[in-house]
Amino acid sequence: MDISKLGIFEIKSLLMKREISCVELTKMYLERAHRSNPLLNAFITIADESALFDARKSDENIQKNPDGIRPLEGVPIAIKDIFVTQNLRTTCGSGILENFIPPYDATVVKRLKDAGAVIFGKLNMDEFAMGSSNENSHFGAVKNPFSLDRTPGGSSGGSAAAVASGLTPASIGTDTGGSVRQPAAFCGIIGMKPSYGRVSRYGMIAFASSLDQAGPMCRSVRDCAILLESIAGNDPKDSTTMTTPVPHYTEWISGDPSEIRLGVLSPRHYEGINPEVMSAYSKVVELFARHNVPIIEIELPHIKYAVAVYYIIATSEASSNLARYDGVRYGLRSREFKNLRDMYRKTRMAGFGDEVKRRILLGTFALSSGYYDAFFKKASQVRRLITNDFYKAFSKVTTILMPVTPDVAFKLGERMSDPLSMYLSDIFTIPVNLAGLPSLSIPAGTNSEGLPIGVQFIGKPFDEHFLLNVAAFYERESNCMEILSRVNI
Amino acid sequence: MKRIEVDDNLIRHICNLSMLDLDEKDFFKFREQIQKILDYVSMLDEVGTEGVSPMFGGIECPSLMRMDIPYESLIRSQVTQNAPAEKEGLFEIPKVIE
Repeated sequence: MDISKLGIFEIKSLLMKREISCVELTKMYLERAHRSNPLLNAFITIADESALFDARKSDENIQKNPDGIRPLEGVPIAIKDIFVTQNLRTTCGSGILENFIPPYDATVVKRLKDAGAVIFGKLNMDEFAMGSSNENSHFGAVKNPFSLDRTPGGSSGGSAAAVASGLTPASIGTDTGGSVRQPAAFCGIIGMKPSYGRVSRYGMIAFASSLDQAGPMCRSVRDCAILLESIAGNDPKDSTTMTTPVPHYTEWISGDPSEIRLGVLSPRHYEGINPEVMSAYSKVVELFARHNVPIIEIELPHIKYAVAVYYIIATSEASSNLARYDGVRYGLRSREFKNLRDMYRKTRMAGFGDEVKRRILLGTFALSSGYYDAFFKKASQVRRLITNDFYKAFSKVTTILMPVTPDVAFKLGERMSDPLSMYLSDIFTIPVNLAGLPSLSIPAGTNSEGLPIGVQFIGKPFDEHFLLNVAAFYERESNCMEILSRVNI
Repeated sequence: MKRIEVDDNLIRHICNLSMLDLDEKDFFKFREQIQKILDYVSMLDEVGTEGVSPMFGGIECPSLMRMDIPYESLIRSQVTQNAPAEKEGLFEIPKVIE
């Protein structure tokens, strides 16, 4: 059986029809994970033993109670290595956590397990989710399955590459400035960043706490709905999760276009972006127009400041969050030191990579005495203006359509020496995080070299159900997920 | 706002606050990169923000308190299981008081 083209829904059907057992299926995914890793480097840890144990339990559950099957019963899923997993190594892509074995599960992990999922691997990522190419991982870069000399994007690059290659039917990534949507776009899959407060951050290793959000990375809109339904909702352990009821997302994927009013930015926002990306984006607009969806031009005058705002706010929050890595309670401790302060410094120098150090320094600067008002406070005020722009636009439209990235996947190594050029590739994803909005990235064809291009649908806060409906309509009418038939790993 | 000159003293100061000791090569590389990034973010100066209240959170709702009900927490051996040095259930660090 070829499992490489299957998503959650198809796998669940096979399991329910008893065409395969969970143990057989899990063995197949484990074998593929081991076999592919020298090529793609998508996995940091493969959990053979615990996955087979959980798969056996799922087989028993299906046997005992065939009518009361949980939504993800027996479905093998690999997740980004940013979620802590009880007794399973969690590194966050960092040398400082290389041997960290968490004593508890993140809420997202607990909810996946409670829904019956079999967690069989932890996927590669930029260190502490800081990066747009996966090249900042302590465990080496991941390759893009569409072109092995290119980046899969980042920071959830391992998740995107693994889902596109069918090494896992789906995954959960995290998105602070585009880290689910950008790799999804570069690897031809669907990625969703839910509204801030929709999914618990408990046990999700913190980068920038006011921006971080976990979301599904999938091969179909239906799978995205299934996964989001499993992980969303209030968590007493994360005081920023909202009590807003979680809709049955799987009931929102009929793809009915009648309520959609699509907002598009005026062309001046798109100066300098790759013409092939622009052309793919325009075709998506045309598709909606052909189905009589009103296309309404909107203005977001402050989004040109989003990257500047982000690199002050995200680094400030990171500098504070990463103060916890001091070699005392967990993680690496330098072997040689003169005193306590020297131990802190040597440990942090040995454990963190360049990008993490750079961001800690920048954030520490922006929060430091004498600079706080001019940088952190100023950025937080402009963040408000960016958010207000979106709210104003949503008085006229239900959904905003934008490209995900200004370009297609770039070559590995190409942007490593110039952090600013790397940061600027996030220009279309970052504003969404600053405003706390939900957004779904979906393929919109390829460029002339066969590299995927993505567009994103952005919604009002807690409007994930409507976004899924919009995406389901587009997926059906464009047949966009056919793109994954070209991947052969 | 005046252009921020990222000089050696500034980098040394933020390294000290950040508990990072850069070697010479990294010191100059980071100094240049941080200068370039700060020059870029100085574009925010052109935005009028007088009277705009800063947005500090991802969502504008008060944080929810959980019910004050005791629940099972980690046991001590789990809390210290990843400690680089542990003694009698405590985290061990180098001596700080002579």
